[in-house]
Amino acid sequence: MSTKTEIWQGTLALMILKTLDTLGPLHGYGIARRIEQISGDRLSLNYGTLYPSLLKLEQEGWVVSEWGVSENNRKAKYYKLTRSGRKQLAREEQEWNQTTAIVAMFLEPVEDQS
Amino acid sequence: MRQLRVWLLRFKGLFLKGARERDFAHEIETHLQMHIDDNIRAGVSPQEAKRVAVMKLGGVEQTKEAYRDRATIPFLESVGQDLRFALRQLRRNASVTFAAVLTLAVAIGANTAIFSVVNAVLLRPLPYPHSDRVINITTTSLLRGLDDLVLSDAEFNEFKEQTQTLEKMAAYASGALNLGDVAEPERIGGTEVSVDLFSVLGVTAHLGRTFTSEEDMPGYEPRVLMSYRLWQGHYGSDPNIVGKTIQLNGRNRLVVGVMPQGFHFPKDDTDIWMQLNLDPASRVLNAKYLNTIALLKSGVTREQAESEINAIYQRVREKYPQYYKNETGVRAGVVGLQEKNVKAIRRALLLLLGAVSFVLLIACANVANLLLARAAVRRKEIAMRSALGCGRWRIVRQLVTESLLLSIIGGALGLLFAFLILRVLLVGSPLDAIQIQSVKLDLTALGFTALVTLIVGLLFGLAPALHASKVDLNEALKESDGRGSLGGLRHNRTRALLVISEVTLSMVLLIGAGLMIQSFVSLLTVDPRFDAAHVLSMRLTVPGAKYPQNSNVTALYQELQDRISAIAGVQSAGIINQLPSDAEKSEASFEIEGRPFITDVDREDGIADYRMVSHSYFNTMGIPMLRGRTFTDQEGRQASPVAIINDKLARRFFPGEDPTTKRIRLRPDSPWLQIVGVVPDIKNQGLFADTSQEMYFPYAENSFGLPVMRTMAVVVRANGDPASFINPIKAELRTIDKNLPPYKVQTMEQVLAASVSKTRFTMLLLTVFSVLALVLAAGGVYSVMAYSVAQRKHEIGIRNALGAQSGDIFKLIMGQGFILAIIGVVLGAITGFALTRVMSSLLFTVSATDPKIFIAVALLLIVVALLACYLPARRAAMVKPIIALRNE
Repeated sequence: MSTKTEIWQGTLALMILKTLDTLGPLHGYGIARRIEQISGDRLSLNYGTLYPSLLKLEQEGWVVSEWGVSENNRKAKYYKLTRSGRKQLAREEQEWNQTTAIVAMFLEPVEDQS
Repeated sequence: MRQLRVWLLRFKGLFLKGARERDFAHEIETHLQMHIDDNIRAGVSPQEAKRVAVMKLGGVEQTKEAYRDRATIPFLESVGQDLRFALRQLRRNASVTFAAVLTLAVAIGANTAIFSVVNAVLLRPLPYPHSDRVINITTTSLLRGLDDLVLSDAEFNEFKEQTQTLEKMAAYASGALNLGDVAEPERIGGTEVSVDLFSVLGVTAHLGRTFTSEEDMPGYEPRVLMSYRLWQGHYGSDPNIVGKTIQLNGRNRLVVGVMPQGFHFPKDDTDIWMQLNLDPASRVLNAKYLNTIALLKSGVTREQAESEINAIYQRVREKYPQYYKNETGVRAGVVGLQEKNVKAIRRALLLLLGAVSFVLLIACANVANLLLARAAVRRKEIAMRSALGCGRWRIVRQLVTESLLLSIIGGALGLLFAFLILRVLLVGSPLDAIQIQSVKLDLTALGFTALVTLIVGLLFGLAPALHASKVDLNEALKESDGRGSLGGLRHNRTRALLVISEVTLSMVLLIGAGLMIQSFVSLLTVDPRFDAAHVLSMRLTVPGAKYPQNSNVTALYQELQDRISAIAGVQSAGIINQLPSDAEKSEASFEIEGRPFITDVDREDGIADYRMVSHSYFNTMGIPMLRGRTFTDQEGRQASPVAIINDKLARRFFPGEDPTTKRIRLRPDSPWLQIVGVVPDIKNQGLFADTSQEMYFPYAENSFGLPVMRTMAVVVRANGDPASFINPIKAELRTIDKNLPPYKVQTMEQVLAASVSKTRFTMLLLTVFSVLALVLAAGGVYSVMAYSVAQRKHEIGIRNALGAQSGDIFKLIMGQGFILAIIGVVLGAITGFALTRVMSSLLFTVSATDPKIFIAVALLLIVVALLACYLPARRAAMVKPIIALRNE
């Protein structure tokens, strides 16, 4: 198997939200490319999986979509973070940091007490 | 909150398919285009650019699929597909659908109708708060079975003082009153009640109030509460009725309240309540006339109450032995008010519910059979879907959706049937008016129907579905249409089993119906020993206020009898205190001159029922004298005291002797009565019961201390339709006393019919159900055999080609049907043998396991099954060898 990391749903949603927060309104393809770039191509991402995630975020009200025109003059659907989406991002970021911090503590080499 | 929004959006997604999918296809297209552009810019060839883009996406269709799953609710979406497909299937097979829906509708309708009767009569609690804690006190003895405990004043007071388990205890005594001073004087039911009665039942007055404790004290003037019905009917719902007086038995009584609509405790015909005015210090012991009703303390079980009540009862019996018959093994107990009310009808209703559920099972088997046949035709379709990657579960779901759809349509139609069935059912039912009123197609009944519908849909749908989904792909796809390699019933075990169970169930139902029909016929052929044709009966009660003396009463009846006899077309008129088929009876012990007096009241044969009659009674009723003569119209006035006895009494005490030479007396201090005649054993206790020993006395006679008979029945024999004499007779009565209402005006034929109404009702319904079952079972046998023949055409053709005679083929097919029928009949007989015992109490002169009925039913079923096989067998016999070849 490849050394690329599989990605799971919750994380993908967080990445999408963060991407939209950083770059502003963006189409699906752009989001996919950005995620790959940021990960330094270490993530194995089927671009297709992005769309159900985007739809879910839209259903939850974190993002809204709207047809627009791309830099290359193509009609594309643009996703935009909503205000509640931004709050949700902050919440998820904080949770994520907490979780990783806790997990990290477990994984740190423990000094031998004896 | 968010989740709700998500689900709502996804639900909405179920309906906006087209636009959404176009939108998304467009989005994916742009996505790919942008990717391809990028790839080409990076120097990849256009084909490669496209390939990479699609691969990176993870497949266009897969992406769309994943997107769709998220946009809607996949499960519901496939249910929707299944439904649409199922509807199409049902429409395509219109005849099968029609047969199945009709079968189900009739079965579900009949079930719903019977259930709503059971629900109203047996299940729904009485409309009293705490009705589960309201009880009647009863006694059980070996001799008399379950009976109401009837107490004297003193005993009631003892129970009331001693009980720890009852919160309240009330007494009541029912009777009837003449309502006067109204446009149409009427005889109405009235009950004297102790003040606690209404609080035991938890009922308050609709208008005014119920009685106060003060009003219930001894000596307080009687006041009345009236029923809503009476208030409406006779007083035009006068809102100011409270405080006015009404005339009862010739006396004016103050109205204190009107009870709520539908309240008629203790009997259906009770319209008036008065105070019992029971003295808490009463020592009266010899008059036992009080029924009791009580409220259990909450938390007290029936068993606790029962053991306490019985203990008190035994103490009371020991305390006053002289007031109890010397009977051992009598126990007191409690019975819920509702159980008591439905005692008579309970078993018949449960039997009918059982029967009708059998019909439903048979209907299920039939529909399952239809579906199995169709599933076999659809084997290829199912195999195809399976080959295309449709999972087994998905196929089962599709098929079950179809059967559920069938059952739901059937159920909806069934509700309509239930409505119609109920209308017919209630008209002929032996239920009383209040019970009939409470029978409705209410929410409970609807729930029941829904539940039955679902269960039925699963029941007949699941088996065929599981069966059909288990196809061997290779086999099924290889087959050409309509010709399986599977012949014979061995390969159709499921179907054969279904048919056998149909025959079995029908057999049980038919046995039940046969037994009831036999009982009913026996009842109809019972000779009541009187001639009911052309006889009219009605009752009168003469109030003591206007006719204080015994002689006044006698004079009134005498005059009435004379006037009625004078009406043109009337042959004769007679008087009796208790008509045949009356529930009530009077007993007395008697002494025969020259023999030791049987003082031991426990000995049944020392007691006889007695009736008071006018001299023309026997003649009017067409009762011949077996010996001696009837009374003369002077007897009871001047002549020396006389009596007539019935045959049973004569045979028991005067075998080989002439009873008309004997004298009897009722008490040592009363005069000897000369026996002047012997009458046959008249069916006075109803057609069901054996006649007791009986004595008849002239109604006017009262020199030996029997109570004054104020309530009497008048019987009139007339030419032609006796009912047409009702008005002339009423007119004669009015000329004598305009405030004397006749009641229970019925022809004797009606009286007799009423006494067999429960048996007739049960018999009719059971017969209808079993005929239904028979038709369904015949249909089942037919469809299985027809299907089997159709499947085996090829095989039969080859047999023919090889020289089989058409007679052989005919026998072969008939033989198969015969085997199915025989197995079903045998199983049915065994089941019937085990089950019909529950109905023995409903039967009359026929044993629950009567071999004649069993054999007759078995023959009937076998004949019907063979008839059902006949057409398929003939069709098989006519298969030409060429058909086998053509089918190749």
